[in-house]
Amino acid sequence: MKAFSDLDPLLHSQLRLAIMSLLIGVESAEFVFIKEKTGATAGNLSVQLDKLSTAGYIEITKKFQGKKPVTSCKITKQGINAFENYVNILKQYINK
Amino acid sequence: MEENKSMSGHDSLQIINEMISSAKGYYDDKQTYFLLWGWVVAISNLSVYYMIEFTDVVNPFIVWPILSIPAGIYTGIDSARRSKRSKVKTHMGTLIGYLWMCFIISLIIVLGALVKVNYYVNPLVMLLTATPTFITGVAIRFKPLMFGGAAFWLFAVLGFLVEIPEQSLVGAAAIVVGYLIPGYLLRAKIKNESV
Repeated sequence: MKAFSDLDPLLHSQLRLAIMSLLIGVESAEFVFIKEKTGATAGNLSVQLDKLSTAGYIEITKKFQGKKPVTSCKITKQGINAFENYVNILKQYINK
Repeated sequence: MEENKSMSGHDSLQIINEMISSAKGYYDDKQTYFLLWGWVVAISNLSVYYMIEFTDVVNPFIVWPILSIPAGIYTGIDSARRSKRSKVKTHMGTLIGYLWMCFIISLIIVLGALVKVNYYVNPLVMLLTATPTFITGVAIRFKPLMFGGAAFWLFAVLGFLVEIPEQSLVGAAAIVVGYLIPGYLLRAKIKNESV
């Protein structure tokens, strides 16, 4: 049985976990939507999204809608696996 | 939301639950289309019945394209605009979108076979409308829309039992029960939730 300390450190952080929990339920979400739901500042959110993207947990797409840049995020297969793994370890720990 | 604060197992669970339910509760106000098409179909059906029974109009069915073509153009433009403006794309939203696209394809085929189906279009369309309406009700967890969808099956049976002029009356009744009542209830629900 895995211990609490085995929790993925990348996911065991309030904002990154919130981002992943939001993205697990949707197909894709824009930066402003994630910012609104998590209540995070734009700067902090950008940094955490970059960390998740570097780890391969999410995919960030940047495009233009007219002249306005739009950043869209999507959870990857690797991200889904990491999230499921995190939840499983959490369940084991809580049920102890 | 702070970044480096240490979290207990329960804190983690709370964040997961909060975020999942906040994304789940997000759905567009699609009731606009139920109301628009509810009125288009109800008015068209009642006008056709009135013209057949009480006037000498040569082609009473002309009312259908007059009302439904502008409504169709509006629906197409508005839904494209909404999807462009939407800040989040959900699996459920995509599924519902494809479901109604399948309905439109089936509808075009039935309308194209107007003569082949001996002009029994009204009950056939009710039959086609039942499934996407019912499934949309299931997807957004809204029982009146599920009952509305199921009502289309009953009205379709009734439609096959009566003659063409009366089918318009059955069609009007079906759209009131299947689209307009659930549409207004859904609008009231969304209004209440946003207060």
